[in-house]
Amino acid sequence: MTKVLLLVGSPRGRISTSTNVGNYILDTIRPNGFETSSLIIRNQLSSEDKISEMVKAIDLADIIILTAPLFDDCQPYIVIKTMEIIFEKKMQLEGKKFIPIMNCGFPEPNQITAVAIPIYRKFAETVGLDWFGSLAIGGGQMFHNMQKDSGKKLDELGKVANLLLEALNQISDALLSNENYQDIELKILPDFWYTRIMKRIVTWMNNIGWKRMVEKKGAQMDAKPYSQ
Amino acid sequence: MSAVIFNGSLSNQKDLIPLQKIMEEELKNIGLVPETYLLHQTDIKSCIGCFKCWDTTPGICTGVKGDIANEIAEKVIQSELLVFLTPLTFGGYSSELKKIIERLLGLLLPGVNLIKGESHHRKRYERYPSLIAIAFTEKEDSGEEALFGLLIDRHSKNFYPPKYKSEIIRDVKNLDSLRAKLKQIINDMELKK
Repeated sequence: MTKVLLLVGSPRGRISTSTNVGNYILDTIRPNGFETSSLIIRNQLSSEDKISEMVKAIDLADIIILTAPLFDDCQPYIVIKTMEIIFEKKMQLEGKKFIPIMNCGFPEPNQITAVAIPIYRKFAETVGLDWFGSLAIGGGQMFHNMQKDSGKKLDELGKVANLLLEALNQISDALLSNENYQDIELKILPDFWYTRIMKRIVTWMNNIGWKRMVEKKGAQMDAKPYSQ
Repeated sequence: MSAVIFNGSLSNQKDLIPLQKIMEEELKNIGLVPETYLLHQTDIKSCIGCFKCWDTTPGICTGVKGDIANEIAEKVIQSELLVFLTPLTFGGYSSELKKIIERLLGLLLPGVNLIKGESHHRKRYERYPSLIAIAFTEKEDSGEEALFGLLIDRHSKNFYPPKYKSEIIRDVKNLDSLRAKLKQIINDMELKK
C-alpha cells in the first residue's frame, strides 16, 4: 500500500489552512488504497524523541505532502528547521515523491512562487526527493477565517472554495493516476474579477477591517511602542 | 548610532564567526555601535502565527512569552543598520535567522499596502534600518545565489530599509580579502557617520 505522509508546517498547528488543505487531499485519496498519516511539525520539533518520530515517518513514506503558510516571503522557521534536519541526517529519500503546498495571506500566488517554491525545489534536488508538483494558494488566510467562523469543512464552504477544491482534486487525481502534475499557481479571486480597481477596494476594506478589529479589543492599531 | 547583527549560523557551524568579527570592527570604524546576537545561543522562541502583535497589543508580541524577542525588536527599530549573516540554506535563510525575522512582524502594521499592484505589509514606523544581508556558502550554485538576492529584494519590499544590499561570500579563511569585501559592502551602503 502506498504510504502518504502529510507534514503540516503551519506555526498555528492543527487549526490552520495548511491542515485543512492537506486533510482534504488525504480524505480524497484514502478510500482509494492509500495509507495516510499526518504530523504537525510544530509539535514534532518539541523534543529529540518527537524529531526521531518525524524522521522515521518520513523514512517510511512513499509520498510526502508538506503544507505551510508563507511567512516573510519564504518557509516558516519550523519548516526550514525540518529541511535542515532532513539534510543533516543524510536521509535516503530517492524515489519518494514530494508535494509542497503553500498558502499566503496576500492574494497574489506569485508571492509564493517567486522564492518559496524555488527553495523547495533546491531542497528536493539536494536531498533526492522526486518533485511531483506544487501548489501555491494566494489568499489562503480567507479560508482559515471562513472555516473558523462557520465551523464548516473546506468542501462545505460553497462557491468561494470551488477554485481551491478544483486544484486539490487535481493533485488527488494525479496521485491516484501516479502521474506528476504541472505546478499550480492558484488565484482565489480570478483576474476578471480582481481588477486593479477591485484590488484597491478590497485592500481598503481589509485595512478598515483590521482597524475595527483592533479597536474592538481596546487597542490602537498604529501604536508605536518602540519610538524613541 | 547603532547596528544590530544577527548571526544565523547553526550550533555546529563556525564559518560566520570571522565574518561577524570583521563586520563588527568595520561598523565601529564608521561610527556605528554594533550589537550582535549569535542566534543559536540566544533565547528566542518561534512565532506561533497568532497575530497578537497586530490585533491585541499592537507592535508588541504577547503571544509568545519568556524570551528576549521584544527587546531585540526594539533594538532593531532604533538602529541605523540591520545585518543578516546566514549560511545559505537552499537559497534562503538558516532556521536560526528566520526564527527572529518572524518575531519582528509587529514592527509592521496589519493590512495591506499596494506597491506596483502587489500586496505588501504596511509601515508602523516612519523609519526602518538599512539592511546588509550576507549568506555564506562553499557551494557553487548560481541558482541558490540568485534566490537569496531575490529573497532579500522581496523582504525589503515588506520591511522598508532605506538602503539594502545582499551578498554571497564563499571564502572566510582569507581574512584580508574578507575584510576588503565587507568594507566595500559597507561603503556601497553610503551610511552616514
